[in-house]
Amino acid sequence: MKNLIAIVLIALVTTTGFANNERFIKEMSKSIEILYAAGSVEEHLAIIQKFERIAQAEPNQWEPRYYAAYGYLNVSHRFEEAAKKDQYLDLALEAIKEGIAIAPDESELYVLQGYIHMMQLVVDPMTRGAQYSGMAFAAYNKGLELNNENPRAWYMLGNMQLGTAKFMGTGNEEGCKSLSTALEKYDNYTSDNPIAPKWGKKGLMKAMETCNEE
Amino acid sequence: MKRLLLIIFFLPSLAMAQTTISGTVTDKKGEPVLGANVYLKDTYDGVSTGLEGEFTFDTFESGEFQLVISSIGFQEFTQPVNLDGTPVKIEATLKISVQQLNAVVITAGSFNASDESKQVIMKSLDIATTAGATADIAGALNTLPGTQTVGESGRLFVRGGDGYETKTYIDGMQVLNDYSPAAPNTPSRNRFSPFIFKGTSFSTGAYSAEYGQALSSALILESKDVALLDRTDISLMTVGADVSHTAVGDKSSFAGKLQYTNLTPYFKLLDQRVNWDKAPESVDGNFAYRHKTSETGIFKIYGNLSHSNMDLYESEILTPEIQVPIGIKNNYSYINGMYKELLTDKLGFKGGASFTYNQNQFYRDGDLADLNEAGGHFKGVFDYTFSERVSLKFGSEVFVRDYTQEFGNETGSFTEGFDENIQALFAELDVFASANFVVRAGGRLENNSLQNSPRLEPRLSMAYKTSEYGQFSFGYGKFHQSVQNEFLVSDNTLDPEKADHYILNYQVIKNKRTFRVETYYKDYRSLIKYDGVVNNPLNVTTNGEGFARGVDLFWRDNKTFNNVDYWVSYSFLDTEREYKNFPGSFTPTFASKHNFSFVYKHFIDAIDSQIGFTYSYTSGRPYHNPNLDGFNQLKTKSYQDLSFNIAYLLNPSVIVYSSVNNVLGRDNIFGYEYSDAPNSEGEFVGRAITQPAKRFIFLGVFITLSKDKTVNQLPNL
Repeated sequence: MKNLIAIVLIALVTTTGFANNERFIKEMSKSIEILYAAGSVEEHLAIIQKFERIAQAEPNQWEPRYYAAYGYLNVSHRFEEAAKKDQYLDLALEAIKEGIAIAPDESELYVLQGYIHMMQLVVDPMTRGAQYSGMAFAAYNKGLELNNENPRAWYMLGNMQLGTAKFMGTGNEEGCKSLSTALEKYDNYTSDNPIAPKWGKKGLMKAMETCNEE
Repeated sequence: MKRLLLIIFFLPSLAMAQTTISGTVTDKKGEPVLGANVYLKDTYDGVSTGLEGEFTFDTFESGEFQLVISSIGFQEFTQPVNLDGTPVKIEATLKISVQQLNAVVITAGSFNASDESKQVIMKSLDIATTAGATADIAGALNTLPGTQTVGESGRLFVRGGDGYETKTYIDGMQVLNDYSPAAPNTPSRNRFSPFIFKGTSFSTGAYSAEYGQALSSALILESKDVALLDRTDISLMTVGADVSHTAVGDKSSFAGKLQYTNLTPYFKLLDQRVNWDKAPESVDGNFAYRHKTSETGIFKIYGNLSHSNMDLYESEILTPEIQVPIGIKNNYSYINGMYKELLTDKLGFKGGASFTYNQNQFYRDGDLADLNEAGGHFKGVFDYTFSERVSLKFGSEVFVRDYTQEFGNETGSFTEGFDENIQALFAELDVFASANFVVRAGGRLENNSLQNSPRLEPRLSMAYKTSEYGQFSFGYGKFHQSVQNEFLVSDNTLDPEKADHYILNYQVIKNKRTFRVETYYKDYRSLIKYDGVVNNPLNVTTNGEGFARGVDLFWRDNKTFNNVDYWVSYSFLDTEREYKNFPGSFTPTFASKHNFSFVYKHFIDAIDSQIGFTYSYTSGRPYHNPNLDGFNQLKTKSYQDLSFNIAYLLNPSVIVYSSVNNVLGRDNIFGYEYSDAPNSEGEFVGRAITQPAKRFIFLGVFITLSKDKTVNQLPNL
């Protein structure tokens, strides 16, 4: 009898354990959909807070922090004023740093970190150009180093290369090459993580128009 | 036993009982807080508040939980709740967080330049791109209010203070002899390149208790952290060349730079007023190692070694045909190490050590002077956060200095010197009464081994935010600084010089525009006083005194015109001293009443260039004519300078940079010196102290080699 109780208890614990993970994936998938569909600042902030709630309940998962950062990044795009942009980019960076502390080898986190630095640069390119372009490049390179197949890493790197080429008045070859690599990777890349980031292809197609013009 | 099994099987469904949690969230004034995150700790359950601060959500959890409400700008709210199916109602009032992004900060007396924090008046880059400054830190800071141009010195003269009253600190550690030696009456440059710093805090008074032994001003430089990219830089300039390399490791970086400067070709090409035998020549080595010891810790070592020499002839005032040979040799080394770490969530530590060794050898017509100064500085500072509102900084430091001077000629020589040892304890408490009001109170206890009488220096500052963008600040502090080596060497017991600062400041920063007005009063005591002449002081005491008062205005606008950044500074100074051999209270020769600067920078996309100009005006400075009655009776003409610079991006890795100082070629006169003895007609003969050349022209090519082709030295110019 005692054995039976033990078995039942073990079963109970493991199923709730599974249930937890299942619930995590389910809640995350649902929330990610809402995030991708969010339009206004308020819609974004509401779903970011959902990710923050999941994050505090799941201290070992990087994904909720990643999506909270992604959300804040989107919010920053919706403001004109430099101070507001900075405020949300700082929040995004904070979330990414938490994610990196949990999963220091996750390529996606560095790609998003680079993206945030790139947007920080855009707020004040004259004074931040040097430092932040270095930080963005370093983050993208780290992302590629950890996963050379990550299409977002190639896409963002290409974007950055195009941006600097425009600023410096030089050619687009380098950037366009990265973008076409990105396109190739988008078509072939699959992740076994059901809640892995998927964004970027639409933006990539738009960015590639610059390359196709020439 | 069966019942036990039953219970186990039904446990999960029992837990399915649902509880509704609802309520409203308001701030202290009763205004609703919308968009706050309300949730049960360690669960997914929660919701964001609506427009009226209201919230409601269901949970299947049961038992004791913590309900958390968080919102930016407020302190986190937590309350235990018991979930058993009965609806829970919460009325939460949030307290404003003083850690919010736009909380009040103490600004009285200080100009902060940083790349990291966003609400600053100047950025590090601004220092490097200011026309007329030729990338000299002091040169750029001289365009800020509270400073004044003293063209024959090149140092920072702050609010009626002499050049030596400004002290430089790198990563909190003292630097001695931070200016390169220069020929008599020609400006010297700060030894440290602005490019190695990520932040600059220039305080014109009432600074933190952490800093002592500076009577007027503290220049606090914070060096860059671990570099991110490998790169090699090569610079070819009209005055010399340098090469530097940065190597990046996993958590560390090493950078080294070698620089050779020789002004001979330049001086051959462009006429100089100084009669050079051998134009200034120097070799400089710099290195920096940074290591990230943890997520929050960093270890830094920085070193600077240099050797320079020059020989020239100076004509005698009375008989200009007589050319007196002068030689200057300098050996300098500075090394600085620091370690910073967050020991716990609440306790931070910063500690370091610095060593300076400086040797100046002067030769003048058969007389030799050999001045040696070796100094060490050791410091440890703790920072403890009691709560969001209260934090304490405390620490201790030791300065040791060993100075010797040897004077000699054919007939013999004599040596004198001193050993100074200063110990200090300091503490400073920051209290945020609200997000709009902060008080910082502290003090510093210092004991100098030479006089062996402990001295207390109280410091107090506060700031009050009057609107979202505007604030008032007040600062007070007592400061001591050992008298200059030349006096201390002959009388070790001389008291340090003293100054009390009172500062009131108002500042508005709104969307890339800054307005600032500051008024101050400075009370000088215990200044050096003597009889006789400057070259041979007799009866030296520290019974001198003086005052300085004035108003500083600053306006910066980075917004109104596209791609244009400009700032305007004006300083009014009224100062008198009864010190040195002054026969009463008079304005010293370095002080001018009105100082004005206009700095303009424009990035022009079409030609891939940044151009800039700086206009400076300094009203006439007093000087003494021994042929007339009275003292410091006359004033020089005003000083005016228009400087221009341009940086052109040839391609992403090559930049061409040029600057011209005093474009208009105005003959600026800084003062007059008179012969020691009268001529045959019984007149003392005067000679104007002028610029060493009409203009200074600089041309350089800067090349960067890096894996990332987009990195270049533009930000360095």
